[in-house]
Amino acid sequence: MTQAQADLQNASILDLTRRKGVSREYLRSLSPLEKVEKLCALQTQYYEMLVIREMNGGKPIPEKWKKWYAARSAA
Amino acid sequence: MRATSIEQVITVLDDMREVAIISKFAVGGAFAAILHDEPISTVDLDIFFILTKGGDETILSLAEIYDYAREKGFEFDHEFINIHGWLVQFVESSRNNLWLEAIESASPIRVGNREIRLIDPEHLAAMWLLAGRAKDYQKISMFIESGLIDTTKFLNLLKRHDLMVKWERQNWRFLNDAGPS
Repeated sequence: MTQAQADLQNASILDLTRRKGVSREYLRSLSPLEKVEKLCALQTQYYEMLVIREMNGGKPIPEKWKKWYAARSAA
Repeated sequence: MRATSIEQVITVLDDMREVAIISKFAVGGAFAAILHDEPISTVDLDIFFILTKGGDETILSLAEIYDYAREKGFEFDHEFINIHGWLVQFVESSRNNLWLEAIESASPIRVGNREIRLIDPEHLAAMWLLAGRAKDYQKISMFIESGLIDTTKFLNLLKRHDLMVKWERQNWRFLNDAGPS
């Protein structure tokens, strides 16, 4: 790796770290109810990823997440 | 699913206390981490509580809680009670001094139009250290990185609950997070 490539790589890592920091600061600033809203969205996304993983021959959806899906679907 | 349904869950928990099934209770686990810090994915809501009629039995029975759930039409199994779409795990805490202290020292937090008691960061971190799973250490790291841990309070707490040896064995995990040494 050349010095220029190393500098570019370090700069991109620093930029990513900075952007992640901004995002985390925003999330921390949310009200408790807004954080719970984000959690609801995260849970849905996480479950969707588990479904995709299973569909592609990966590990099966954990039992507790199946329970979560059943509970949410019924609510 | 709307976040406001969590307010209905709090209403149910308050009702359980009013009808004297549980006495004190507080939010712990990853849900507490979310309220203190930032949203992370978790499947359930952990409620640390003390049974009103705990008695001296060796094994505490959660039968009254299950009877209540049945009466209210909440589905449940050995792990969770489904309250308005939230999987709630009840953790009876009277036999664990750290958990007991965590409930006693919890502070109220407003969630929408309701209020619930939330275990403080230092007790949560000590509870995660005690549990000792990879995901518990991740949450300790997250709290340290966010500056949520009062070092003096945390170390005193660890000493009081005989957790210093475990901390000294595990704190290498957090050395880059500018945490308590």
